[in-house]
Amino acid sequence: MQRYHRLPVLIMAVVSLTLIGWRWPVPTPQPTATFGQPDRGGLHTGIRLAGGAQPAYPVDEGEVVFVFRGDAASPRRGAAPATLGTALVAEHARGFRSVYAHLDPASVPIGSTAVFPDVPLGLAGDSGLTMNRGLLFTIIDARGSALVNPLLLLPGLDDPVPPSIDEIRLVSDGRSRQIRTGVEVEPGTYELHTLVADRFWWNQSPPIMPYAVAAYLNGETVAEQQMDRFAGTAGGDRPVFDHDGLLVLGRVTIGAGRNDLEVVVRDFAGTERVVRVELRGVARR
Amino acid sequence: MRQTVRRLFIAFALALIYLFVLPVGTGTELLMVRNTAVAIAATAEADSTNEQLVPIVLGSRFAYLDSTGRPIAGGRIAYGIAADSLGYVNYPQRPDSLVLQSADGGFLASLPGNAYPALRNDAVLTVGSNQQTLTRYTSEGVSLWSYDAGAPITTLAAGRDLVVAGTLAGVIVGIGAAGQEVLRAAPTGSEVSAVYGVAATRDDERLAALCGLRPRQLFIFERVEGEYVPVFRADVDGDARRAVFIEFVGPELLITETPDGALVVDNQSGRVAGVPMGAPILSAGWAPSLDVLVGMSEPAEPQAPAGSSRLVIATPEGRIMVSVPWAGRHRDLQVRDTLLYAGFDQTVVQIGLGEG
Repeated sequence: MQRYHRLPVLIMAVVSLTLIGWRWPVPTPQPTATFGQPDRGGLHTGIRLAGGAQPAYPVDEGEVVFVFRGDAASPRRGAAPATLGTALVAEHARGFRSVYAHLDPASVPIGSTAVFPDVPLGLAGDSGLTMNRGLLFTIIDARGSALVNPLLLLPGLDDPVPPSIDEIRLVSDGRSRQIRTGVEVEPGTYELHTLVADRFWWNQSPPIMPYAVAAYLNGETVAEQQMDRFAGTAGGDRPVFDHDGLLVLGRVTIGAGRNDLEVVVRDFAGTERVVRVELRGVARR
Repeated sequence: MRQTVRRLFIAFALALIYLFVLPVGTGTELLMVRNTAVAIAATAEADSTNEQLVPIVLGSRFAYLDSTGRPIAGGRIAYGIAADSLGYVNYPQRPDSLVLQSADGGFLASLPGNAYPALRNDAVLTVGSNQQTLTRYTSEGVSLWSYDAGAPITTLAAGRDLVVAGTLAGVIVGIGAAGQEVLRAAPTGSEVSAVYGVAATRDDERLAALCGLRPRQLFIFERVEGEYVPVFRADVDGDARRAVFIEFVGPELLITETPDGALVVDNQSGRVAGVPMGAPILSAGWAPSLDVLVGMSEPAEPQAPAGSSRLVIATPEGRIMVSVPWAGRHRDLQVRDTLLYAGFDQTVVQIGLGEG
C-alpha cells in the first residue's frame, strides 16, 4: 500500500535540528492554531502560540527588516494599516525571515536593527486584528517567496496524542453524505471531504491541523495534502476547506461493487491514524 | 434557615445593584466597544457648504476643520482612523464592519470587517487580516476589486484610479481601476529587499517607491503610453526599518524622508536637493502661492524634551527659511495654500504663511 513520502519530512527535520538550530520564539510554546488551518475565511500561514504575555524571542540571530506599528492612533502617513498589529520581521541566514505579530506595542523598542537569540523582541500581546492574546509566528522563505510551516523548522514538541479522523464525506451535486464501512453508494465521481485534527499534550489544547492527510482508493493515491510550504499567493498548493471546516481532499470515482477507501492522517511526531472504509457501489434502479 | 434565606436575599440584591448601578468591568465580560464618531454640530456662523474641509488627526482624536480652522466635526478615535476629504472610518480594534462616514458624521457606506481601512486620495481601501489582501470599494461600499499581494503589505498610496502597494518581499505593485496589475517591479541591488514607502500623483501619471537596505533606493516611474516605466533611480541615505515618509507635493516635487530631514526631487528638472532638518521629516505639504515646502520633523537637538517636534519651511532647492522648535508631539500636518494646520495631541494649531 502506498504511503506519501517520508523522506522530505525527514530531511527537513534533520536540517532543522542540525543546520538551522532554531529555538521556539516563546519560553512556553502552546500552539492553538497551526499552518494550513482555516482562519476566518482564509488560512493560517503561521502558528499561533498562546501562553499570555510571555516574552517573544527571535528564533536565531538576524537583522530587523521591518517593524509594523500597531498603535493605530499615530500611524505614519503612507504606512499600510497594520492588521498584524505591532509586528517585527527579522531576516536570518539562508534567506529565511521570521515574523512575530500581535506584540504588545509598548514592549517593542524603537529603532532596533539587529536581533539576538537571548534578547527579547517584546511581549506577546493582542495588538492588531486578532481575537486572542498570543504570538502569531510565521516563517517566510524569502528566496523562494514561500511560507514555511514553522513546525518543520522548530524543535519538536511532545505530542503523545495521535491525530484523529472524525468524519469522511462524499459530496456531489451539493449533497454531502457521511460514509462508513458497508455503506452503499451510487457509482460516480464525488468530492472527498474529511474532518481531521491533532492535539498537543497540554490542557485545553484545541484541535490543530495535522501535518499531512492522504487518501487512497483501491490502493491508488487519490489525494495528498501536506502542510509544509505554500506559495506566497493563494492557490494551487493550499488546502481548501468547505463551509463546515472539512478538508476537501479531491475527487474520487466510485465504481460498481467493492471499493476500498483509505484515509491516512499524520502528525508532526510521525504518528499516523488510518481509517479504512469499504464502500459498495450499487447503481440505483 | 430563615437567616440563610435572608443572607441569600441580601447577596442577590447586592448583585443586582452591582449590575445596574456600578457596572465595573472585571475584564471577563463581553464588552460592547462603542465606536464613537461624534458629529459636532456646525455653528450658525460656519458655512461649510461647498468648501473643502480639512481632516486632521490629533493623537486620540480627529477633526474636520473649516477654512477658518474651526472644527466642524470630529470625535474620539476608537482604535484607528482613516480620514481624507471624502470622509472617515473610525474603527475599533476588532471591527465586525467598517462604517464610512461623511465629515459631519453622516452614513456613507458599510464595509466588511475582518480588515482595517485606508483612505488615500478618496480611494476607499481595506487591508485584510493576513496583511496581504487589498480591496478597493466605491464610496457607496461596492467592492471594485480584491488583490492578493503575495506578501505582507507595508505601504500604500493612491492616485485617481491607481493604487500602489509596497510589500515586505520588496515588490512594488500598481493596480489599475479594474484591479489589474499595471506595474509589478522587484528592484534588485540592495542587500535586503523590502519596500519602505510608496507614493502616487493624483493624476496617476507618476509613482515612487523607497526600497531596500544597503543601499536604500528611490525609484520614480512615469506612465508612458499606458505603461509605467522607470525614469529615476538613486541611492539615498536611510535605513529606517519601518514605513517612511514619501509624497508627491506641489506641481512636480517628490519629498522623501532621510535621517537628516528630507530629500526633494524636482520631476521637471531632475534636480535633487537635501533639506537638512536635523532629524527625519514626519509630514510635509506645499504652499503653492509662496512656492515653499512646509514640514514637521522630530526634534533635531538631542536635549530636546520628549514629545516635541520642529516646524520647517524651506524652498524646493533645500534652503531653510524657517526652523522653529515646537513643544508638542507632532501628529499630523495639512497645508491649504497659505494656511498650515499642525496637529498635536488633542490640539490643532493654525498658522498663516506670508511673506514679510
